[in-house]
Parts: sequence; C-alpha cells; structure tokens
Amino acid sequence: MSEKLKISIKNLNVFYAEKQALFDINLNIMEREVTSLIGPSGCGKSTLLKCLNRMNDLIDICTMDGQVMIDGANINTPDQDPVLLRSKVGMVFQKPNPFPKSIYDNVAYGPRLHGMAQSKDELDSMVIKSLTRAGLYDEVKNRLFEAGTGLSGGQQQRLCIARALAVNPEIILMDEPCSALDPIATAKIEELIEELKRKYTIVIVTHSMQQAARVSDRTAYMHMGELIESGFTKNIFSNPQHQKTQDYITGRIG
Amino acid sequence: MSEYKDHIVKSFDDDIENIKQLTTQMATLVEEQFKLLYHVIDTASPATIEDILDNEPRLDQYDAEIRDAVITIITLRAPIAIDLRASLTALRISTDLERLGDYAKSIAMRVAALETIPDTNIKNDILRLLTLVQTQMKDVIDAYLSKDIKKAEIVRKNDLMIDEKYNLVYDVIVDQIKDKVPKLKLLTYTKLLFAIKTLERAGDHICNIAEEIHFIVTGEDISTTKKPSQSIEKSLEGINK
Ligand SMILES: Nc1ncnc2c1ncn2[C@@H]1O[C@H](COP(=O)(O)OP(=O)(O)OP(=O)(O)O)[C@@H](O)[C@H]1O
Ligand SMILES: [Mg+2]
Repeated sequence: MSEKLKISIKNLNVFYAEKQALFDINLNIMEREVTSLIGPSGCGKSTLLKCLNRMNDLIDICTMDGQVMIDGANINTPDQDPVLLRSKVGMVFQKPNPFPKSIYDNVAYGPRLHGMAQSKDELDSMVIKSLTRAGLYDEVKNRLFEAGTGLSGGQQQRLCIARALAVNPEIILMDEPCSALDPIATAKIEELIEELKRKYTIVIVTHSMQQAARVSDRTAYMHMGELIESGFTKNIFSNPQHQKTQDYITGRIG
Repeated sequence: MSEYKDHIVKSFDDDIENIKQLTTQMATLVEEQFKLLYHVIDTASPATIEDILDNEPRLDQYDAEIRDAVITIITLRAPIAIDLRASLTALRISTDLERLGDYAKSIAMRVAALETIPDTNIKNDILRLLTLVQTQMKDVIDAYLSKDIKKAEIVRKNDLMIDEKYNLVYDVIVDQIKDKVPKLKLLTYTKLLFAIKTLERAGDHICNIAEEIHFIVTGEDISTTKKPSQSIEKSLEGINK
C-alpha cells in the first residue's frame, strides 16, 4: 500500500432530476489499493462509481455539486476532456459487454480510438499485453479473430478487463464484475484484481460481503445515498463502528 | 453497539441462539459442580463425589456439541463481525468451562482423600473462598446471558477478592505447617494448599470468560497476560522455610 491519495471526493451531492441520489459524500481513495463500495441495492454505489469517470454526464437529468479530484485535479472543470478522463479511468460492468467484434478488435478498440499505436506491430503487442494482464491470452491466443461474444461469461469479463487495460488506465472501476460468474471465473477475476492492484487503483462495487473482504484493502459502506462508514476492510468486517454497517454486513434486519 | 437485531435469515438466529444455549447449559452444570463441591468439602459425603464424577462426561459432551455447532455455523453461514466473535468465543468459553469443571472434580477428589479437614477454621476459610468463586461463576453467567459488559467488568474486578482471600487462607495454612503440624499431617496440609490454589485458578478462568464477553460485545481484546503462577512459587518458598 502506497498511502498516496489518488481520488478525493469532497462534499459530493448527486441528483437525478429532483431526486437526490448521493448526499454529501466525502471519501479518499488511495493509489494502488482496492477500495470496495458496499451497501443495499439503490444506495448509490453505481452512481458514485460513475461520478469517478463522468459517466453521469451521459444522463441528461443527472446533476451534481461538490468535487471529485483525481491526482489533485478537479475532473469536472470545463477544461477536462471526458474522453481522455475515461481512458485514464477504465470501467468494467456487471454484465460483460464485449463489442460484437473479434477478440482482437475489442481490445484494440481503445488504442485505435486514441491513436496510441504507430504501427500494426505496436498495436499487436498492446493487444497481447492487455490480454495477458487480464489473464486471458493463453485461452484465446489461437482464436484472436473470432467473435468476443463467443467466449464464456468469465472469459468475456476478462476480455472487458483487457479492453479497459489496453488504454493504459490508472484507475479501474468495476461494478459488480463477478455477479454473473461462477465461483471459478470469480476466483480468476479476484486473483486478477490482486495482480492488477500493483499497477492500478481499483474501485469495486460488490454485493458479496465475502468478496469485498477478500479483495479490498479498504471498504466504504453506503446507505440510502449516504456514506456511513469507511476504513480498512479488516476493521469494517471485524468490528464496524456503526449499527447500520453491522446490521448490513451481518445480514440483520436494518 | 448495543442493539442486537434479528437476522433476516431466521435460522441464522436459531444457530446463534443454539450456541448460546449450549454454553449457558454447560456453565450452569459447572455451577452445579461447584455447589456439589461445597457439600463435599463441608461433609465429605462420598455420594456427592459420585455425583460430581457422574456429571463429568456431560461437560465433555457439551464441549463437543459447542465445537460442532461452531464449526457448522462457520461453514454454512460464514459469520462476520459480532456473529463471528460470538461463535469463536464460544470455543474459548467452553474450554474455560471445561477447565473449571476439571478443577471442581480434582478438588473434590483431593479433599475426599483427606476424609476430614483437620481444622474447622481452615475448612470454613476454604468454604468462604469457594463461595466467592461460586458468586463469580453466577455473575459471569448472568453477564454472558445479558451481554452486559458492565457486569463482566465487575466480575473482572472482583477476581481480586478471590486473590486476597486465597493469600489469606494460604498464610493461615502455611503458619499451621510451620508451627504445629505433626509430620504425619504435612501431606494433608499440602493438599489443602493445592486445593485453594486451584480455587484461585478457577477465579482466573471465570475472569477469562468475563474478558471474552467483553470481546464479543465490543471487539476489543482486553485479555492481559495472566499473572504467572506467582503463588505456586510462593507456596514452595513458604514451605521451605
Ligand atoms: N438513470 C437514472 N435515473 C433516475 N434515477 C436513477 C438513475 N440511476 C439511478 N437512479 C436512482 O439513484 C439511486 C441510486 O442508484 P444506484 O444505481 O447508484 O444504486 P446502487 O447502489 O448501484 O444499487 P444496486 O446495488 O441495485 O446496483 C436509486 O434510487 C436509483 O433509483
Ligand atoms: Mg449498481
């Protein structure tokens, strides 16, 4: 753990039209750590995650105030380019969503969009490197030009991770990346997260308490749009300080 | 955190409750053993010693049942936070209870071998020491059932009374040994020393349970490294003089 601040969320309020979804969120996310966001359905985890790469810009009725700072810079100022931001902050979704293209093209998509490769060889090596980092290369190296949608669910999810890695992000956001996967595919993704955190800052939303406990260094518990408690995962799970956190993680009626 | 709400999955509550029940039953049986021990010391009744011996296997059985229940709950429910602490701590509490039961038995056997305690004053002192242990036992069960850390704290503090009483009785016995005990009776008095030492240790195990109750409720580990058996050394040093 580097103890270096990567993302700082300050007094963040988010609204969908009239309805407030996040209330005065303050949270620090450390570089090269895994931070998990947990909490009951509808508490605002995905909304918070999407604030970190301005995905909410794409929703007309969504407005916000407060600040999200990455490396000390406010990501919502007009001079910040959201497309560039999203290459720095990659995202992996709950349902694997490969493009209806070949495995190769799925991964090459980002580098092509950002003009990152100067030659075919360079692009090839970017694709191979990303697939390798995502722990998928060996399984697909003989069928790189087959459709990505033809892979198993777990492989598709790792393909999406490879796609996110291809643009050299610094931060990876994962919204319930394993909820559609079996225990083996889940274990592979968790192992991958462990591997990836050496290089990337990872924020993961999960509904599995055990997964949060296994993969994350720090955990933040949210409830009805508020951040109730955050801290080292070990402390949150062994001895939460707030009744609401305890009720939630131990499966009590809240 | 003071509130204990029900689990959404009701059978989870049943499993936690089951562990609590077994632990309480085991503790109550230990309480019973000490009550029988009182009678043994007081009257040297052989029948009562039989009762103590008869109860012994039931304590082992509770110990096994608690371990089973804890393994099951950990395997099937993956408890966390307070549920995990309550489950794991049950194992430690049952170990303490098992030891307490052992102590009651071994004191009873030792005292039984004496037939009578030669000195009524000493006998009454030992009975008073035992009464203190019994009170602590009752209070710790109470604290466990009500998950009351204040009561648990009182138990921890009151252990001092056992220590003090132990030191007092110890001095009385050692004085006897030094002054007027005939060589033939020396063994008897040594056995009494061991008996009171065992009662003092019983107090420590009750104290452990009180600490474990504190841990269940707060997650804070306050178990201090137990004062080593300074009094054993003291026993030897007193006798050698
Ligand atoms: N596009 C949207 N338009 C309007 N309201 C929305 C929109 N997206 C989310 N919300 C509302 O914002 C609140 C937070 O939703 P969000 O998706 O962030 O929750 P969540 O914690 O991710 O839940 P889940 O665990 O079910 O995914 C909810 O009340 C939801 O109905
Ligand atoms: Mg969500």
